[in-house]
Amino acid sequence: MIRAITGVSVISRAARILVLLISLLIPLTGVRGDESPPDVEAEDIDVSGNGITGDPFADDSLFSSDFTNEPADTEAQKSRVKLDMHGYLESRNRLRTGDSRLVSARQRLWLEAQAGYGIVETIGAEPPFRFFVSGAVDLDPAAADLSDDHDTARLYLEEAFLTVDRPGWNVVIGRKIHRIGTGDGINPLDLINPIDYRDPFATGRSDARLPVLLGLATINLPVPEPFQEANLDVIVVPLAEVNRLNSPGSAWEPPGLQKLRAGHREGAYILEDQKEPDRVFEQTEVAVRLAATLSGWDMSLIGFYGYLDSPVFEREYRSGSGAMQTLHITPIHPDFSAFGFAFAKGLDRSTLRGELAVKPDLPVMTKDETMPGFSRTPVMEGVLGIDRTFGTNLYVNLQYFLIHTWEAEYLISDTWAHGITYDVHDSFLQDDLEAGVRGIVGFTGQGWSFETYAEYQLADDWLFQGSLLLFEGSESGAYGQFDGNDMVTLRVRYSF
Amino acid sequence: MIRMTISLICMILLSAGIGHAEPTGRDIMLKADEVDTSRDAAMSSRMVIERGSLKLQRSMESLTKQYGKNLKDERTLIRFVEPADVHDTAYLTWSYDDPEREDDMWVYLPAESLVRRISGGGKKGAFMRSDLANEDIEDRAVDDDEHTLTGEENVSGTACYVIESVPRPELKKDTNYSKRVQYIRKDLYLPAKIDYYDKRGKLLKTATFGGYKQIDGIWTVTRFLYETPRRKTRTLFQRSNISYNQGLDDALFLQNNLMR
Repeated sequence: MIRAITGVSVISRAARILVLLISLLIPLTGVRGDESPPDVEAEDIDVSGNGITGDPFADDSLFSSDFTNEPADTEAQKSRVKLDMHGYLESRNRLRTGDSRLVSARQRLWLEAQAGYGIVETIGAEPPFRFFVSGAVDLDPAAADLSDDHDTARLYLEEAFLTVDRPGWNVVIGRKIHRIGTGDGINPLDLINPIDYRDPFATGRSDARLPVLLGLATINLPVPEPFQEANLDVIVVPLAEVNRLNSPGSAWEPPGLQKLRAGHREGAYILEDQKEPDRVFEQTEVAVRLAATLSGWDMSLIGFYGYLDSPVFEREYRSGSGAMQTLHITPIHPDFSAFGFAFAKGLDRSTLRGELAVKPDLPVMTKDETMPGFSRTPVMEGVLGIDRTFGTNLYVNLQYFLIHTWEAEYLISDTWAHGITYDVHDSFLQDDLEAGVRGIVGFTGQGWSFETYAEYQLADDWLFQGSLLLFEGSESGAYGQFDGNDMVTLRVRYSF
Repeated sequence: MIRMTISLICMILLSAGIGHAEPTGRDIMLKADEVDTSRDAAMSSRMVIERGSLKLQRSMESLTKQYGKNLKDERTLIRFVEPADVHDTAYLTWSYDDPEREDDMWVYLPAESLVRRISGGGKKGAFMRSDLANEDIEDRAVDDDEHTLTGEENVSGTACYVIESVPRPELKKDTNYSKRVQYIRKDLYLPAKIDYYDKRGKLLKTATFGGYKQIDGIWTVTRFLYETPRRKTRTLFQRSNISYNQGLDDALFLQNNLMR
């Protein structure tokens, strides 16, 4: 019994020692457990005269001179008016190499401003009512000398739109460029904005677009798992706007149009004026886009009803004087519809992009001289591209495009047309200099465009750019038709 | 019984020895990763890039919100204010703690009125022509690197853990660096300095951190300096108007919010 008691007693004493030791050791073990963050008042942090110990910037000397202008407060405010204005001054000069003629010497003052008004309900949100406007003054005597497309001086409004932004939806009304395609250079589903006829090529690979008057409503849809974001866009253009035909003499007047005009001058037929849509709320365009994001995929279904941007030439015999019938050719823009799918997917250091559009009754010009000069046929257009950054900054973008036209034997189109777009560029001199090549190559008679360029940024405000843009191919090709338009461009821009 | 007691004491001392073991590099980096306990953050940032007598200035506003079960996924919106030629350009990133899952990234280009998905291929490129690479401003998961505690050192008069962080083999192709040597303050678990080594193992650049402030209860670095001796350039970066846990709306982190 004694032994037993003694034994219990010894074990109990050992247990007490064990508990004591453990209780002493716990504060020494591990890295800080679940304690509260270090606190100055609790003397966890050593505070010296200019802040906490070990702060190399506590004396403010290094950050004093360039950090005086604190940006706007990020706190939500009950009401605020926000106004920003920016712009640039630019001199862009284009010399056509074939005849050493200056086809553009555009001097531009560009201004844009945005204003916001309303109660900002949460930090980071924008005011619910916002207005954006941009416009410019262009002086381009060289282009004005060539054709009526350009005035020597032109003051114009580019975009001007009001955005009403509410939780779950927003509406945009005004003149705007709105792109919905994902492809690069070739976008079968970007059907809303017409091409800028004065300057159709923004680069060797991409076109330039003009804003249109539109209404855009976007609704954020509820997203059941695994979707991460879903939106429904509805776009209404009350009056369709289309590609305007270039005036005679313009650098961008296609040879086909030149021949038509020559035939008109010779009296072979009468070439009527371009018949653009002109009935507001009758000749409207509507696009609907349902977009969703899911596991790295951006996907959208797109439906469009509207008017052909590039005209077809309607042929019609009309009675003239006596029994004579005269052929009238009129550039018109028939309606059509399109349905499609667009996607983008991030893949490691690459992005995959694609569009597929079906245009069931697309007006296409006929080969022969039958009436009315065009026919409707199903057309399918697809693009599939990938971009990737190699090393630090070497960017490569390749995109394959394919167009299939049914019943093409009667039409000016080929049954299959395809080609690639490309963009390869890199950065040098601490990223101040970017240089590269970009363009489009058609494999089925479209010809090709090629641009090599370099742009140098001096400080934050100055941009110097030089490029050589080449076209090659047959006269009937989309790019070959500008074979005579190889040009050197020099641009200097000051942004403010 | 005496032997039993001695054995117990030995076990206790042994366990005490284990308890006294230095934390591992990963322990410290996990701890550093937990300093920012915020669910969301809003701030303004200003960056001055010095290239000899030339100074480039950038400013931006950014919003961040944590997502996922352990709040380890993150969505970030950065909108540029300056310089004028990139005004309103915005980047939206959805990053995931799961190293197997690719980040989602989009850029809004106001001049082209275009929201465009981009890939992480540009991570190694310079951030806005500064001394920072794009990867330097990203939220890097602790387990993207193997961390080794190599010692302790005083930096700017305060004690720091010195941790060598080497990218996991499968991630080496995605980074400019063969390793980063991080000096983590022992009191705040915030960085005091980071030395970046290039792929050849040579010192590429150094980041020095400061402007430590306790904001809404969270210790925060508000100023840092990146210096690249080879290029003779440096970048000063300052964060201001910082606020945490303001209940940022999820809609701010949608693609739809990028376009103005």
